[in-house]
Amino acid sequence: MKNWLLSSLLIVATTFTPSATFAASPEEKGLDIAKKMEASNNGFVGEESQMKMILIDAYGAKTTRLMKGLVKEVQGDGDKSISIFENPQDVKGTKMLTHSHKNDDDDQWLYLPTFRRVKRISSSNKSSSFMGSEFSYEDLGSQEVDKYKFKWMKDITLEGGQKGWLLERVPKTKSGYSKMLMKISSQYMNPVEVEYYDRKNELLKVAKFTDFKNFKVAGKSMWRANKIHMKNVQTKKESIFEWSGRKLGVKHKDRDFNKNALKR
Amino acid sequence: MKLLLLAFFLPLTILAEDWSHKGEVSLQWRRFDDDNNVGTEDTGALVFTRLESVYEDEMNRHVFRGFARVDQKDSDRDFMALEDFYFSRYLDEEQSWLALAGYKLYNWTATEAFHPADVINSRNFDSDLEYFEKLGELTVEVTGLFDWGSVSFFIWPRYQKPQFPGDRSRLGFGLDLANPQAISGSNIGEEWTFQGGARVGFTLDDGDVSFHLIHHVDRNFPITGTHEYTFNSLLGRFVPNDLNAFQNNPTPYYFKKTQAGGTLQYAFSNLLVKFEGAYRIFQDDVSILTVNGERKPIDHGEVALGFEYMLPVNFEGGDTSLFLEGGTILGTTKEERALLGAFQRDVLLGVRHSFNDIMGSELFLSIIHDIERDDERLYNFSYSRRLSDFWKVSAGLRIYDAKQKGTNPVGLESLDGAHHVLINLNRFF
Repeated sequence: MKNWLLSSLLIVATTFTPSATFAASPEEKGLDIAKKMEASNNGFVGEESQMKMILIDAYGAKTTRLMKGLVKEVQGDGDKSISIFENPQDVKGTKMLTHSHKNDDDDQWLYLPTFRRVKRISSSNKSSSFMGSEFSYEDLGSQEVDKYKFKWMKDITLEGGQKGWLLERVPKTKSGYSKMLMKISSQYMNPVEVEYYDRKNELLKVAKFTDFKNFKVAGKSMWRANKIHMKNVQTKKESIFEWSGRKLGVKHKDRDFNKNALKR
Repeated sequence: MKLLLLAFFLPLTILAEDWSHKGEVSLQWRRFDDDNNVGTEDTGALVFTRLESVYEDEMNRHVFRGFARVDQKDSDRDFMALEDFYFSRYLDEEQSWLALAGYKLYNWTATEAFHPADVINSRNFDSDLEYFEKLGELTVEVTGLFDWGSVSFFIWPRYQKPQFPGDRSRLGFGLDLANPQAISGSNIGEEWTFQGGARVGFTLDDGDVSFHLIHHVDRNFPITGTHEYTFNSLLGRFVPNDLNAFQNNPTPYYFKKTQAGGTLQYAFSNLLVKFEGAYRIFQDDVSILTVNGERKPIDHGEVALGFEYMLPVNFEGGDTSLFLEGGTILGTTKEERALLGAFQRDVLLGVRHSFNDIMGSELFLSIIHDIERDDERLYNFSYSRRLSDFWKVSAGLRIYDAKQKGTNPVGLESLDGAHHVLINLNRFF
């Protein structure tokens, strides 16, 4: 047991400490970190959670949206997810099914309960606002490594003394952003802060990831932020995404993420 | 029958732990352009209520949904309808086969305005022309759910009658229609009749495809008149046995038909391509005397092709989508098409702008233009936004521009001049 523990600690130490990334160029080093980040977050099998989104306008007025989220991990491609809207009441029961892909536009369907209709929707306009929030579909969609170019900028020390890296991420395909600057925590192997730059290369939004919680799925440890606070520095609007009752390792059936399942 | 089902299902709903509910109460006001006719009601002021209750566990699901409306000005609009009232259960532990029984509302459409494939449910014709309210159809259904798609088999044992506007309605025909009658072969007025079909749906690349084959009483192409008439040799033409009923309370007849059709929705980047098509073969054992003479149903095809394009640029953070859609009836003459319906060869051009604000504000503008018959257009402007998490307001303007060209109005002509504004205030719960 001690040997196993020591071995594990050694693997973690050599894999996830900043100094352990020996790639030659900043681009290779950035890609290496991104791949490790992806690998450390893979293997969650499936997820379900309650989600709360607080929208704050430029004058401080707040309104709240509630959703239920289901995610099924797909090996070799992007994940499948369903968001079920619970509030505001006029969209209660509306469901959005997303099949994300590594190298292609996502497939998306919307179930409109009033009409009992499943409608395919265009997923290519990723910079659209999600439910009137400061989050875009792109922010909440799949973040597959293959969709971006990465560049390591420097090793950094985060608040609280955590070690980490500053990465630049540039979308390879159509995007609402010219680039993103990401502060990655080597402990969580997740971003703790992301600066989003618009197509004119001006700072647009800043997202802070907090309330990290550790999950264990089939013996593997992984972290998830339970709160993202997004501030639009241009419009002064803010949105806060909060997760509760989050479960990882949930085994969903594949056909529950089929468009025919939306009507059920 | 409905009461029996209600008595059976309602206790389940109340006792169940895994159930959810939602609903709305709306105040709806509309005002028509004055037609200088004291026999019609130019103002509508009604209360609309919809309730939905869903019970769900691992293997079972039960849904109840219905609506009711009461109009203070026009009692002919008072109406109560069952939309869904069914119980479904997986037949196996793998959850590959699902059985369902009860009243159900179907939506097989892929397009926005013209719906050749979406034909199962009867409609309430005192609602929006492009999206008539539907009435639940008594159904027994078995569906196979597979990773590649689904296959459904249906039996609809009872023909559900459509709802028509009264003689005072500006969206009606200026007279009280008699009780609609189904015609199956030579049988007239039988509500219980065999109807059934099958549908297969699957996803292919970036598209959704479906095909259906159904045999049922048609719901969209009634022939209005009387089946009780004789030839008057003195006049040299057919005359109704009851002239008063023929003139003041004609009967809409719905004929049994076999329909083969399908739908497609395909995504090309920002562009969605939508298609619906169907071919209909009617049983025409019975002829109907109409104001345009003796008629039988006409076998025909109907197709609709639509494009929805989301502009790649955002205006003040909002999203804008453009709609172009065309629908036509095939295999008939121009005159026959005109008798079949309001949209026999038309094009829709529309734009929807979602402001993407906290209140979900949305603007929709559209025009439907008849490309075959002169001067027939329907304009629609609407705006909606939330007032809070529970309240929503919407307003709209509809303009019907379709001058009557013959002796009797056909298609959209019967609604010419029925321009109106409407305001809805909804409270959701």
